[in-house]
Amino acid sequence: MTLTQTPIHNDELMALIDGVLHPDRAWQIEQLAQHDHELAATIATFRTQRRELHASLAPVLDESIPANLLPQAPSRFSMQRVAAAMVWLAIGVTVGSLSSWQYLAHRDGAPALAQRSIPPDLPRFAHQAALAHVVFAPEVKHPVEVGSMDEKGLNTWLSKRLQRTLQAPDLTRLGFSLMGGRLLPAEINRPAAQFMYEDRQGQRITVYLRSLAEATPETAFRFAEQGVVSTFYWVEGNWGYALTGELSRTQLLQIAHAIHDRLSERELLKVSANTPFIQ
Amino acid sequence: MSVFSHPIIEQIPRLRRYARALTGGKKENADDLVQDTLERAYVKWHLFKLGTDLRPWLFSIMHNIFVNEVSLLKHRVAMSSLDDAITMSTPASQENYVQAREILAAVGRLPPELREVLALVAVEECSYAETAQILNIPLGTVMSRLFRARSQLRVLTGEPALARVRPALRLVE
Repeated sequence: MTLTQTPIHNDELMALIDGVLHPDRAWQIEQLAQHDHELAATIATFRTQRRELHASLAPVLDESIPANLLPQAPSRFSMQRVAAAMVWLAIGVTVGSLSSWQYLAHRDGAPALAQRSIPPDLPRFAHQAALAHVVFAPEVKHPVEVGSMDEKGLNTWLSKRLQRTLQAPDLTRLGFSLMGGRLLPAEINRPAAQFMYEDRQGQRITVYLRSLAEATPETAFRFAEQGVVSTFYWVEGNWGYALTGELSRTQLLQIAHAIHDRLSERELLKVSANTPFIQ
Repeated sequence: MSVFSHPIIEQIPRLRRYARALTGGKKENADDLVQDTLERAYVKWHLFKLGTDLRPWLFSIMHNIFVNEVSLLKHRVAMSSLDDAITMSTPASQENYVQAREILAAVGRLPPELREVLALVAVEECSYAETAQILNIPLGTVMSRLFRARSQLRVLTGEPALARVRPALRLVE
């Protein structure tokens, strides 16, 4: 029995229609169909179905999204605004969204900012920080791009790329030693830096920072839990900082405070809140 | 004005398309389904595993809601008739418009569980394995439902039913 005489299984026919059948087998079936009118008709019909169905629904992707499917701005009071706030509370990424937006909306000199439909960057920032943590913290071979052996080179390089003076915070007093860091893509013209630390038990934490897309009111520590990782994040100047790890909330907050305190004292992260960071 | 940025928002167009297939092209029913899905997704966001694909997670939430709704509204959504008008927002041409109505209306008349598999595979381009995962069914069930969906759709769109099984085309189910 030659291969072309092998019975065609339904699964193979489906895979042929969906374009995932092995090319050799697909060729065999096409050959068979040349002499089998019924098979040829079936294949043609199924292919037409697929094409028509796809084409008939393609325009949906370009339709404008109805307002009731989008969280609304708190610019006017509505149930949607309340719903949007509830959504964020539920997610645990509170961001002080309402307060910061009211802040922006009512602060003198900033009405134009509040009018624009650009979303605050902060929830996205926190998400990116957590994402960067879960991607790189479990790495065995390449957790960092530049190791702490070359700490000076790391600081110089990241300072240059983030266009600000940057120094990896020293967390040895808290039991965490610097492993190194890396440059990460975040937004256009806004790369992010990640520093990774490890304690004696091999528990890893990451500090993530980048400039934010727009002036954001300074925040207190915000906490977000995403899966197994927890993130504390805050804003200082135009910069967002996030500390992520799989530690308890209390432990994490203690470290976040330490970083923030020394940051303000300009001991560790040499930040001057009054100078623009982007030159 | 959209103020909040959330990864889920980027997925709304895809969710709307999948829902449109599930409801046989009925825009309002589809968007209700999307709204229910979004609400549940935001509430369950803490359960989403970062680093995994967001789309299958959302599709499986929609699947659960759809299954529940179908069992409740069997006669309204699931058994939509051909007479029901289907509004396409941007018909490319009159001919396409009629075609779109026909194929979508026919999909709307398939049993819901066949609709889901067909929409995920043929419209959303999910792999068979992904489809199995989203619908929480074995791969073999995906394949047999897909075949049944396509065969029934053929009948519904007026094509002759699959003829008798012949030795060269032994269609095994």
